[in-house]
Amino acid sequence: MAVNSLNSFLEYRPWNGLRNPAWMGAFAIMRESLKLIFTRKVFWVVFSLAVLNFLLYFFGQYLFFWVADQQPDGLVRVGGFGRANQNDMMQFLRSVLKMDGSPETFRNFINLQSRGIIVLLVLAGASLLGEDLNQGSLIFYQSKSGGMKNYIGGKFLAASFLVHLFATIPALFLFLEICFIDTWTYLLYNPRLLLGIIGYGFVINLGLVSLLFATVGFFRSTIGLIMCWAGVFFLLPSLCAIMIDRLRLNPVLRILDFWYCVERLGEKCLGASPTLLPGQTDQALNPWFAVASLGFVFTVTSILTMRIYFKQGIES
Amino acid sequence: MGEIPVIHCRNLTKKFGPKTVLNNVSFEVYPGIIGLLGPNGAGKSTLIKLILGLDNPTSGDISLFGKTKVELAKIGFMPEAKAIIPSMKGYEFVAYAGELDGLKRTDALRRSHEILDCLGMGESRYRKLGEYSTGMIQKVKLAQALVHDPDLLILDEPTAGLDPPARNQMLDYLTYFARQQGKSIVLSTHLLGDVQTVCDQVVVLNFGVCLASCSLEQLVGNKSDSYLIEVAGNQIDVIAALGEKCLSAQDMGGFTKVFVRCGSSAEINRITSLVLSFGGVIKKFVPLEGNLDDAFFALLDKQRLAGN
Amino acid sequence: MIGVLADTINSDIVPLWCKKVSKWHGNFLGLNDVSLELRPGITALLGSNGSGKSTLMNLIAGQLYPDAGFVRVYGIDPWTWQGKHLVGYSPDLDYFYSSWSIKDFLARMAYLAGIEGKRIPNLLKEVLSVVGLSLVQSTLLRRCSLGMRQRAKIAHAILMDPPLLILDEPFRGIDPVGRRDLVQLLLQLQSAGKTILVSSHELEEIEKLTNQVVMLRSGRIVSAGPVSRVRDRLLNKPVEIALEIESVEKIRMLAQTVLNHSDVLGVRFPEGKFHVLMVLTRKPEIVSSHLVVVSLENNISIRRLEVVDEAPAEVMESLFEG
Repeated sequence: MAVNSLNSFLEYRPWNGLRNPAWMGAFAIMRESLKLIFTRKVFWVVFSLAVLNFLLYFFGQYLFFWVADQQPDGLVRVGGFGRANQNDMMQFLRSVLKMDGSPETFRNFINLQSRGIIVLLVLAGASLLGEDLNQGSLIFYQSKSGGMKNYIGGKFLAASFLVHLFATIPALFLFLEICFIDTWTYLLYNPRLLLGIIGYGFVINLGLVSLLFATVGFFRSTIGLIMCWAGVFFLLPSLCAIMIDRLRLNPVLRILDFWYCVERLGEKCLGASPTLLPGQTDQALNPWFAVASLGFVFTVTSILTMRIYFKQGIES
Repeated sequence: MGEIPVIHCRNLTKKFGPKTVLNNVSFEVYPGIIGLLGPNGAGKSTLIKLILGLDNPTSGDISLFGKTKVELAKIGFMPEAKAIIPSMKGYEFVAYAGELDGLKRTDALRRSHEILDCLGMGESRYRKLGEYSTGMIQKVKLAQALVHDPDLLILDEPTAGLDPPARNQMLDYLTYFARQQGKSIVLSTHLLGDVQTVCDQVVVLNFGVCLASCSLEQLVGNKSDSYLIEVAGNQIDVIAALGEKCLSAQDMGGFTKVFVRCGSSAEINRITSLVLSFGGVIKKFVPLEGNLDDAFFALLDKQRLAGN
Repeated sequence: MIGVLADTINSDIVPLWCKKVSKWHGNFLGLNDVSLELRPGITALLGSNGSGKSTLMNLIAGQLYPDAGFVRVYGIDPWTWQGKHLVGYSPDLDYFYSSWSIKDFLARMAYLAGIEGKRIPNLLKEVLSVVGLSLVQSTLLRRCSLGMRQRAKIAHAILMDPPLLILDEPFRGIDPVGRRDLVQLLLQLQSAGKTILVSSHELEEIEKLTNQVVMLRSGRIVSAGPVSRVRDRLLNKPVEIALEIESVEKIRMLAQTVLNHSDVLGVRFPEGKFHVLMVLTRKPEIVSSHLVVVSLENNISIRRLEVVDEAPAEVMESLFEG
């Protein structure tokens, strides 16, 4: 009797097909989260900047190698200032701009790219995670077979994909480029560098994404996220600079500077020579301190994430 | 009943810190539509979470279809919260829910279209969820609970905020899925009218205590020996003639409501012919049935009095 | 009583008078040439989502200004501050700061409404006891249940003791206990002489409150008045009487006899219900009485006899669908 009143009724069909294992759901969550990010304008703005930077390095390296292959004895006109020896000029350029496939090249490149990731995550992170918390959608994910593990896993994969899309993958391209324009022996002599690029990528990945999960869970809105991340990436470095460079406190305090620790660890991964921050008076931080600092941040943020997401889902 | 109960709770207790949210709740319900009733803070949502296995009870246990291990794949849940992704299209969202429940992408898309067809969602499935009306969102939420073909549906406030046609349609779908497709449905709602229309069994909770779990008829009761007769005009002499058969009468201005008691059909005939013999025009003649509102509040009042 | 009126009216004594009111939201016509008059008591404003209920309520509460026509509350335009004193408005969504307590919220609103600081504590005590929130007055609004929030909003609406109350969807999402209390509260306000316009989707609740309805559809008033009259006006079609008897065998014989009556338009046997005969007619009173007579003559016992779709909730449902 009820059915008659339902117009255009197509009968419901039972279904009893094969199912994927539950964890496959994480990939669906990753795919949909990435779709969400790709529809945002801010993604495309940051992405095009990152691509520009990549192209700069790409053609820069090419140019360097090309110039180095030219006759080494001629004099080159430099603007209107007279002539310079080509070798001297190359030496100078190399010291200023690292675009020659050295560990420092990759360090500089990845450092620059990760600025882009930070901006992207801070502006789009709320739509990646915050909406679900605000709308009470977590219960929806919980009631599915994969549960909360899939949700955290899927979102983690999505955010990690963004990090690698911006940093690790282009860096690997640059590495490959040198293999092509130099010789393949470059690969043989530098296996450490290849692993270092991937390692640095994962350090950034773990650091930023765990920070994102905890802060979004806590603040939920883009504004809160901006405030918090501005604190981490601007305030903490300045604080450390004041404490160590001006007040001459113990240089180990540098471990408070989250981003410095990430970069220091990346440097170590790539085997690049340590650089000092502008105005830095102490030695570069012992990488083991950086590991300890990042490990601490990772543990704290993970605990916070678990507490916020699991508890929120249950209480909502 | 020889059937296996759909949900069987034994001495279920749940505490959050010092607060007892569910206190020794025991009940069993059988296939059909089960109404879960209770005011705010009664512990309904906690109970739903325990059924879904999202939280563990402090003591006691639940079995679904005779098994203590909760299989989420057999349960479809429709949350009360909006819980949608506004930038997704309707059919995409349902397919997405299917994938989360372990369907392959192709199966999920096919099932999504099938169910939306079944729920009468036409071209609007290709629009974004952000542009949907409340009624459409509720349908999509029902579809996402059904996409993996569960045996048990748990619906939290499926009719909240719907206008009457949309609400009736939703209730029609629920009866269809329960009667024709053999799904068991737990309907948690504040609208007692909905429960009375579609449910076979009810579970009433208040302050974490299970006040009743029985069939709807049992709770509502049926005073079938009393009838209401509406007679046109003011019928003082009829009432006088009925004598003690007449329980009470009420002049509504234009017509009179007469409540009578009659045990047998012969007696009914005697009463009606008596009314007619006075020239009364009978507008309405109905047995007095119990009302869920009254039964529900009676339960709450009883608990309050017992508490004091 | 409500009705759509003649042009001239002694508007000073009418609680609410809308004349040819229209309101556009950009290009979207929210309300189209609505004329309405309310008299004291509760009136229900019904209509599907998007039919213009909230727009009309906003206009009456002075939150919007009509693009054409005018609204008068006791002869005063509610857009002016004098008019706003006469209307208490409870919006459909929660527009308050959720970190305030109920009492703080009301106190600040009273202060903003220009009530003297000295009078506020007494006023609050009075208003809170009317809505039944005295015991929980220091609860934070974000911790309140929906029922408590609705009552807090109604408390805000009656702060200035206005004669006209506009309540937008007060029953949405409330639990059964809160619902019952709210019905009590509205009936109590009605007996205190207020004019109340309330919108809701939950027709069972409306049925408990009032018999007077205004139906809106696509921004127009399709009907106004008591439910039965609304039905007659809108659904100009015959009604069906359901007759349930004891014996299944005699039902077809009974149907044949019934068809002989000149006011009977047709009979029908509903599927799956063997005891029931449906009789179609335009004169339900005559025919139902006739049915009783015929059954008695044939010695058939009646179990139930009623006009289908007569309860206000059912009438209104069929109006929504029709």
